[in-house]
This record gives sequence, structure tokens and C-alpha cells, in this order.
Amino acid sequence: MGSAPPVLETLGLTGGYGKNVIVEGVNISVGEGEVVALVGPNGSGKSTLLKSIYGVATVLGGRVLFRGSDVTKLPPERKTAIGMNYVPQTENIFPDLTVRENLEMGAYLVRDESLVRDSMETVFSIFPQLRGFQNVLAGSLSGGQQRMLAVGRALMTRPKLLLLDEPTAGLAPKIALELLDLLVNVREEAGVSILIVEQHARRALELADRGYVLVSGRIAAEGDGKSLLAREDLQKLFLGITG
Amino acid sequence: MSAVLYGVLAAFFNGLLVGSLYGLMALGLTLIYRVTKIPNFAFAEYITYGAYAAVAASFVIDPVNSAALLVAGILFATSAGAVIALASDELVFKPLWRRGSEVLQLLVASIGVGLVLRYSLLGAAALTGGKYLEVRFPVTYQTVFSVGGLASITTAHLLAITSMVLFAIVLHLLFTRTRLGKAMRATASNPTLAQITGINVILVRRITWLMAGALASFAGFTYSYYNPVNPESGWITLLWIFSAAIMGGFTFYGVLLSGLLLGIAENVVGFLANYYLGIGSEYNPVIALVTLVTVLMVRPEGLIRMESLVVARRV
Repeated sequence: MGSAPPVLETLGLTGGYGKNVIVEGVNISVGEGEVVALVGPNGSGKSTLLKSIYGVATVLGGRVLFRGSDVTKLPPERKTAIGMNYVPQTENIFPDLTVRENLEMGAYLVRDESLVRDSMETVFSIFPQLRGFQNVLAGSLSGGQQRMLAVGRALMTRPKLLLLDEPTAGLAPKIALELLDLLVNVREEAGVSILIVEQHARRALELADRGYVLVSGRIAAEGDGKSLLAREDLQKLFLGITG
Repeated sequence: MSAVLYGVLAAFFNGLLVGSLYGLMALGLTLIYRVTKIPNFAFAEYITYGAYAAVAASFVIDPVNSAALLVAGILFATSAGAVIALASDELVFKPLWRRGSEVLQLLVASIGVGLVLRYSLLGAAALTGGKYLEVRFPVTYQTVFSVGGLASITTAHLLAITSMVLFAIVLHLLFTRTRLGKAMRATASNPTLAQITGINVILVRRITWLMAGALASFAGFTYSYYNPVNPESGWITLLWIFSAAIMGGFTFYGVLLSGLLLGIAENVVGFLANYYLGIGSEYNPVIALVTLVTVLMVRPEGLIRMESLVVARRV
């Protein structure tokens, strides 16, 4: 990582809903250009951690640093404006808008038309399937295409950091794995660092540079994907789920 | 020309006027419904208040100066409607929505808002000694051309039809071409995501209510231009407005055509039923309702969904 601060760093982050603590004292970081996977059993607080980082859930303690500056208190839309973006697990598109309009709305804060066009081209080159459906209502796309659109929507602001909350949830396994492979292209083409919560733990850890294992709201293990996969004590924690 | 053809023509012309009023009124209702998902029964009162505000303009402007009074009437009406519509959202609908109210609760609340508005106006009108229990805009419409003296096209026709078509086009372009309009649809479609992407959803909501209220009371002004209006006029028309909106699938062009269809069907079929079967014109509403029920049974998504002309609805 060198001397430059990581793109994202959490320091003792505690978050939840109202006064309910779901994740506690979490320290994680995402370096420039890194893909980091967040895995763990169901209900371990993976999504809540992502939401706390983005400000959708309540931060009850600790700090969130984005490229070295404290963004803990910024509301989500301000975070979008400074180069973070977030793809919720559900309801992550505008079903009543066309594919093209979804992307335009993703770039709502970008005033420069030519930047918007460029970003749209980038999205279409990562997800070529979407190009042909530009004037189709997003709600009538297939499940996999909707997830592509959700990620594409978030890329429209040219974020430095992308938070993906289970982008493959509810997809057929084959389509889910295809989408995960495409997400690697996202880093290459859009030059973005990614923190991804994923149920397909094995595949996610294979694709990611590093991973964190979250158990009961706390970080239980961390390291590069291969070494986490090799640890026998973690096997039943996440490999019991779909691989 | 035979008497029946002559009667049909007169009924058609009348239907054209009434129908464009239904369409015009339904546009604002559609706007609110599409952005906030509220089937707003209080919408009827924005129309009535618009008519009364237009008439109130004559307290300021001398009716002799009819052009100035028309302009002032429109300004008075639209500002009153915009403010009342916004106030009803800020005071009632938005707080309920924040607490997670469902459509049915919002609908019932809107009936309540409507009752308060309607009977406040009725009470105020009664206090004036009944002078304002029925009002009419002081500038009267002129006949533009007439077939045989009874079937005529008037300036009221021109006003209602032109404004309905114009507003429908403007609204459609707003929704499909502009940043604001797309932000309105995005807010309607997924408010949480809209907020994350940086859309000021509260501002969007306010603009929506201002626009819809202004549209409603513009329709009220048009109403009072050709017909006397009383505190219950909007309420009595609400069923037709909802019919037009539902038949039009809550799309702007669809609503426009449905309004016209309702107005013309009601008047022309009503005339024929009267002429051949001796059924009185008081049964005209039945025709409108039968049309609505039939449409709902055959095409519950609306008779005319004009949106399909713009975007493919299915892959």
C-alpha cells in the first residue's frame, strides 16, 4: 500500500440499527485497486457492516476513513459525491425507468454530459448485455441483468470505492458465478477498489486479493484469499454454504 | 340536417368540452399518483379552490378588463392550488409516508383532507350569506363557430382542449426528457436508491405537489369559465377524474384520451338514450361508470397505456 492511505479504512467500527449493535469493533481496510471479499455465515453482520460504512445503517462507534479523511458522519449521498458508491442487496435499480435512464440517474450528481457518456460506455463494455436493452424498462430485465445494471448504476459516478452487498443473491448458481467473474473486469475497466459481501464464499475468495471472515459481528480471520480458503478451522464457517 | 344528427353533434361538442376538462383534471392526479403513489381524493378540492381563487381575482381586477382578469384568474387559481396541495402533503401525507403508511391509509387520509378543505370552503361560503355558495368566473366565453345555433364550439372549448393537450405534452416531455422529470420518476420508483444517488427527494416531492396543485386549480379555473362552481363541484367530478386516470393507465397521453372518451361517450350515448329510449340525462353518470367498470374488467392495467409508444415495456 506504500505511504498512500488505503481507499477505505474502518477503525473500531460499531454499527447496527437504532441501538441494536450488529457489528462491533471492526477494523478493515481496502487498498488502492484491491478487491476485498467479506465472507461469513448468514446473520454475521456482513451487510450491516457495509451499510454502516456507507451510512445507511447507524454508526454507533468508531470511524470510517475514505482516502485518509474521516467520512463517518457523511450521509450516503455525500459519500456518493466524493467517490464512494454502494449497491444494496435488494431494490438496487429503478424498475420503472429504462436501463439508460437508470444509468443517467446513477450519474445524477455528474453535471458534465461527456463524462456521463464516457461512464456509460465503460458500463456497456463491462456488461455488453446491457447495451442492447438501453430502452427497456429495468424491471423487465432478467435477474442477472438487473444486478449488472445495479453495479453499472453505481459505476456511473466513477467511484474510487465500490461497496457491493451480495450482488449474486437470489441468482441461479451458474449466473451468479458468471457475474462474479465479470466483477473482476469492473476493477480493470473502471479502476475501482471493491469491497464485496458474498455468499459464494469460495469463488469470492478465489477472485479477491484479500478477505475478511466476519462471525457474530466481529472479524474472525483475515488474509489473502488462498490462505483463508486453506484454513481448516474456517471451512465449516463459510464453505458449508454454496461454493 | 336531421334532428338526431344535429343533437349528436351538439352532444359531441359538449362531450369534447367536458371530456377535455376530465382529462385536464386527471393530469394532476396522475402526476401525484405517479410520483408519490397516493390516490389523492383531496385532489378534487384543489380544483374547487382553484375555481374560487380565480373568481376572487375579480375582487382585484375590474371585470371590464377581461383579458387582464383572465390572466389574473389563472395566476390566482394556480398559486392557490399549488400552495394548498403542497400544504396538504407537508402537513398530512409526507408525515404519514415517513411513518411507513401504505396506499390504503394514505387514501383514507386524503379523503379526510378533502373533507376538511371542502367543508371549510362551504362554511366560509355560507358565512357570506350564501352569496358565494355558487360562483362563476365573471368573463363569459364566446361562441367561435356554431352549427345551426345550438351545436357550437366556444372559447371554453379552445381553452380546455388547448391547455389539456399542451399540459399533457409538457408533462410527458418533462418525464421522459428532463433531469427533473427523470428524478421524479426515479423517486417514485425507488426512493431510497434515489436518495443514495444524490437526488433531493424532498425537493422533488415538493415540486411535484406544487405542479399538481397548480394543474388542478388551472382546471378549476377552466371549469368556472364555462360553468358555475360550488364548494362541492370538484368532489362531484372526482369519480370521472379517477375514471379517466385509471382508464388512461396513469399515463399522461392515456389520461388525456380517456378523459375525452368519457366525456364524449357520456354525452353522445346519453343523448341517444334520451332520444330513442326516453332515458333522462340524469342517467349520464351511469354511462361513465359502466364504461369504467367495463374497462377495468377487460383491461385492468388501463385502456390506453400510451407509455408503450416511448419505451418498450417488455423485452
